Amino acid sequence: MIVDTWLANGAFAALLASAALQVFFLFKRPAKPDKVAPALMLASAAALLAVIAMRSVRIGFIALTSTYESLAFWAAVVCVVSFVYGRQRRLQYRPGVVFGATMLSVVMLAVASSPLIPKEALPPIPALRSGWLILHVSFTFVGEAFFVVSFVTALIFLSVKDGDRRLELDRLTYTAIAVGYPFFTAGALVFGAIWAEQAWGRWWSWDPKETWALVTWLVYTAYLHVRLVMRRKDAVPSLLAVVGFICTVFTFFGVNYLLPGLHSYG
Amino acid sequence: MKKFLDWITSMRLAIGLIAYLAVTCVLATIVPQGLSDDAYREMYSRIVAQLVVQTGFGSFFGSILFIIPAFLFFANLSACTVKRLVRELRKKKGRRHGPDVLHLGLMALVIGSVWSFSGHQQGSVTLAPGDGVNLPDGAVMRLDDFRFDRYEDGRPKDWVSVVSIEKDGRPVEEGVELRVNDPLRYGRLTFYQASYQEVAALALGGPGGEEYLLSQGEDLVVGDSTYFFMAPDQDGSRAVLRVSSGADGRTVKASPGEAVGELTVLGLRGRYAAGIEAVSDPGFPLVLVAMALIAVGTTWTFAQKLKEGV
Repeated sequence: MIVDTWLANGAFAALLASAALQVFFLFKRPAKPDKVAPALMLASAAALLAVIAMRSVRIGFIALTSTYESLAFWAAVVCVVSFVYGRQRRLQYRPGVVFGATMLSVVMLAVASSPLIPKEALPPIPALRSGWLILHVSFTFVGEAFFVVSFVTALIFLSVKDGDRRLELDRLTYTAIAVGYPFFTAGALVFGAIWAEQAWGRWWSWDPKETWALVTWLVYTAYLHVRLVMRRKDAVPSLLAVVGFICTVFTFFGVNYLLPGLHSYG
Repeated sequence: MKKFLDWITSMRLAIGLIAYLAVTCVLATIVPQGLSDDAYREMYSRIVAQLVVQTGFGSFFGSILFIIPAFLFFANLSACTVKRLVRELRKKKGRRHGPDVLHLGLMALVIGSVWSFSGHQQGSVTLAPGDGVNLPDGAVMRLDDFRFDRYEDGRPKDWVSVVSIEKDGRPVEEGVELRVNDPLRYGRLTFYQASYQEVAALALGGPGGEEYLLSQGEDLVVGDSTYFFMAPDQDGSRAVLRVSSGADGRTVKASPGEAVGELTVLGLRGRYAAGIEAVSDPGFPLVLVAMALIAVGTTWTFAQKLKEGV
């Protein structure tokens, strides 16, 4: 077994251990804050990024061209973002938010390690050998890592009734989307379109993946207008944040496996 | 008039249109696009097929189901942008122009998209090394070489067309490598390495030992004779050639080793030909500007809002 497989397995194990510790501390509520779980999460992120770096060296190109690598990168960014959220002592819902995001990272790595996903590090085919592709994928996943946080906070929002708690959760959802949205816009739409023009001579083809990325962007655009312009702080923005994340996940997985198109290798 | 202005600048209209576009776009990814009416009738029940055919949903992005709401969205966006910009400019301080830049970018994107999709032209040509093609401005693009690089496991690594462009007998571009993801921009045209195919080529030996390689459909002049390689014969063992000299011409089938005029057939070879696509998209520069505005506007909007804690 090669080193990066060991590292990937170690990252998965560290993340599982972090999640288990977080569950323990969620119920125990000790006097001193837990330092081990965040450290494990950060170690997991570092290991995943090291896996991507090692694969990059092996294939001679930045290893963000397969589903496995994309999932590893997304999980790593979610871990880093969760770690940063975990450091915000003022946040009332810090443990819940961090735990939710950690669990979603666990799901990503579980999917990545499943037999459904090919794990072989292969050099990219000519269509994928582009710097724009790397910008497209990396910016998109950084944006989507914040959408993971917004999904968790929106779900907690929908599960609580208390007005003050809801206000705080609404603020968290909004800030996560406000950070993620520019990254997603630049990555999924702007860099994606530039790459498409360079590779295929058409910057937009209404390919299912493009269309679903646009739908995801429209849902988050609707969220921001409902939240910022209409100033709604009820369940509607949170529901839109949840729908937005479902679209995000479908754009990544569903389109690849259910709707064939130009991105069927991605 | 006021009612109309209120309606066209209303946020409810914007949200309604966003919701409509999102839902219909999703449906358009589920209903296969661009099929014939009969294909939809085979695929779906009578009622659903009738609905798809009658509404034009099979070509959703070119149908009024998409175009009218998209136009309305553009009108709503433009009206809101102007209204917001005027309001911001009246402020003495605390202006936020991020959303204005973002909305102007979106407006430019819609205009650029219409321009791009209506003005987009493309055509493709298959060239074997040595072949040329005339360009609209009178220049000639010639394929000097084509390489198909593979990884050790046999997977494709790169398809490279080496091309040159000559205009009025003078070289304009020489030995440019055209790759996937690395197109050649020349005038209003962009050339893409789009595909490749293996074509038959005929190897001929000259009287002085020189070797010529003729692609199918290519001719060669040696002395007074022109040799035109038509195709391999049906079983692929012989070459069918048209040999002409002045007004006389004859078609011959020749096997390797046989003499044809002054030349000798050496054999049939496989040869790669490059599929090169030429695209003209007059709207793309505006689309690029629009995208830059969108990226700057989005970042500016939320950087400012988060800084202000809004």
